[in-house]
Amino acid sequence: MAPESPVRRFGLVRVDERLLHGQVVLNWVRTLGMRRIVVVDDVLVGDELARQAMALAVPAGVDLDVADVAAAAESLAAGRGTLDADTMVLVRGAAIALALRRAGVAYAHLNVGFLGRAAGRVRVHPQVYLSPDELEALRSLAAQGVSISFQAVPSEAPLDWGSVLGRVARRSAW
Amino acid sequence: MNWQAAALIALCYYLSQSAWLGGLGYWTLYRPLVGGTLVGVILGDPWAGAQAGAAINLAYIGFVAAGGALPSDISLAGYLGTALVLAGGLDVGTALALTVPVGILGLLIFQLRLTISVAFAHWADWYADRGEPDGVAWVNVLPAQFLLFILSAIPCFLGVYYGPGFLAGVLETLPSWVLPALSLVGGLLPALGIAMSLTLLWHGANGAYFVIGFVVAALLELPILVLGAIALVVAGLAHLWGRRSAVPLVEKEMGSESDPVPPAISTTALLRRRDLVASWLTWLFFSHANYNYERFEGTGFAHSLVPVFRRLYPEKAEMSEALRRHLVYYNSEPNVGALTNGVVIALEETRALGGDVSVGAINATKAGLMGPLSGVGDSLIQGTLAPTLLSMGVALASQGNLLGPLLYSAAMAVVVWGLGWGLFMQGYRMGSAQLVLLARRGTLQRILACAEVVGSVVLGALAVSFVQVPVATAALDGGRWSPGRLLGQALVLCLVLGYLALVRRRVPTSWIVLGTFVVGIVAGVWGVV
Repeated sequence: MAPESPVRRFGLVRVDERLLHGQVVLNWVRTLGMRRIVVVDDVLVGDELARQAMALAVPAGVDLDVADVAAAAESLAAGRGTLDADTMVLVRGAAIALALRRAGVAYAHLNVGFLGRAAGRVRVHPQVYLSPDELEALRSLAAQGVSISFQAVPSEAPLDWGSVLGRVARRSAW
Repeated sequence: MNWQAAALIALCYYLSQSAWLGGLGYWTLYRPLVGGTLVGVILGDPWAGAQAGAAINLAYIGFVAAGGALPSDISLAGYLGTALVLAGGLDVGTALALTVPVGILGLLIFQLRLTISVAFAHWADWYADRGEPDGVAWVNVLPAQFLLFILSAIPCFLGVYYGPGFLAGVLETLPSWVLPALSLVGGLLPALGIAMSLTLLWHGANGAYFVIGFVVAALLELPILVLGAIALVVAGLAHLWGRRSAVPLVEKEMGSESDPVPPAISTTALLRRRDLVASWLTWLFFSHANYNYERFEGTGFAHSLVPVFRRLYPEKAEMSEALRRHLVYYNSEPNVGALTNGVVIALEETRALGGDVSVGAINATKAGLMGPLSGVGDSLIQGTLAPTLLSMGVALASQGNLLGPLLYSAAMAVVVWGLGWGLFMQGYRMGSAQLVLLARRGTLQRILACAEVVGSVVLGALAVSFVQVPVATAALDGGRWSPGRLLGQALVLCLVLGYLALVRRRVPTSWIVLGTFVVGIVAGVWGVV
């Protein structure tokens, strides 16, 4: 990460395996009054079907960008006339969140919303299960001063990074 | 209350979450408007039940559960709350305040069920490994539905049977400020419900429509439904001018018969129409039968493909492989998401015919559609159509009119069944073709915009009738234009907008509810109320 990158306070930077989904569209975009959604994903960029479906899911008056990490970093740096506070950034996993920050997008806060249950993942929140790799990526982000919280929908009380680390420690001890 | 009545109410509560109502349970029996009416029918006074249910429902009208994140169990709140009013003699406000902990208890039951049901998903894997579709089918339905019955009907029966008497005893021993305090909280909670619903509508001119609805209802005392009808006309003029009428648009929102439909990719179809009907009906009934925290609708998706796979994959090994690839995580809005089911079936058929469709392509298509279509479905049905129709139903039922719950339920049946079947078939016919017809954002968004205008106006009018601030209530004795009354109404409007500001600042709902209770208790102790 370039050290001179200014700290950015986006409306929401969210890790969610499902990317654009009911919880995101209904609970987050509407509650926070977002005007721009940037889906950062190297795979979906080439998937025309998924892009069209996402375009349909985005509410009226909200811009949608689907871009890979490099293009997203460039586009977010430019800002494109939308306030950071009205911009939502969606990524599929913690590794992409880390890559985005390394590409110079110095977001201040990261919301972890959904990572499904799978072999080798530890449950830290009703809908977040972390693998060792994801945990490592989040540790690295936390070390860079990103405040991380775990929260499915805005009406739910967020769980902070410290409590999650405590849960992970207890799970591995057990 | 006799035990038979309590058992019937408990049965209704079970059915509201069960898989037996053709995808309508969550939209009808789960809502206090309908549940309260049923409690009324069981206890011999449907009109009073509808009124109590309507009042409780309004406090939860902003209820949306997307992606399995349930804010509260509004169904249990509706059944138990109405029973407390009709059998326990509580006033609706007090009963409403007591539904808050009841809803949280119901939430714990829901979470317990989704946690335990994970085991049934693994049981389904066991049958899939052996290529036994019957096993997958019954494991998707029976164990979780039996578990649900035990977990829901028994606590509800105990609560309804013993609750009113127990509560009457407890309330007598409590200090004198408790009941007024609870009643005050019950008067404030509808404002929170309306504010939660408004957060979903709060963009463009909808805020202004809400205030207009409020002011017109407060000053002119127009019936809410008349207001709603005027709003519909205004919205129609604003958003649909020069277009086709609103009703066919809902049916054809994602393309119509007259448009050039891309030809189905399979030229020699293996599947018969009855296979498609069976698959859709299985999905309609059982998509959420084994809803669980690991796969969500995954076992339901595999189950819905059983009638299709029987035709496509007579070989046990192929059947096993096909079942296993669809027993993975899946979670979408079931009705708009039925389009995905149709597309997946077309792809599977092409594959079975020896077409060039890889498993990877099927999985990618399914995963790519799942998220966005749940976004479309949740905003269209949960976020817009259901709250708008509910607010109309609540308005009718609050006058003791049973058409409120009936018309609401009928309208939801048309939405759920019409959209579900239409999009399922559309998906099957389109196959893997690009979503050319889907890209008609304009039509979908005009419908959403119209429903949002009507919803905003009606919510404004409902705030006038349902939110009770003591100062305002005391001033109601004055004439329509008396300063006291106007002040009181301004206070109600400020309260709703205040809650809205809190919700939009991402203050957790539990804190807001807790704060409301603290205000109620302080006011009760000081004897303000």
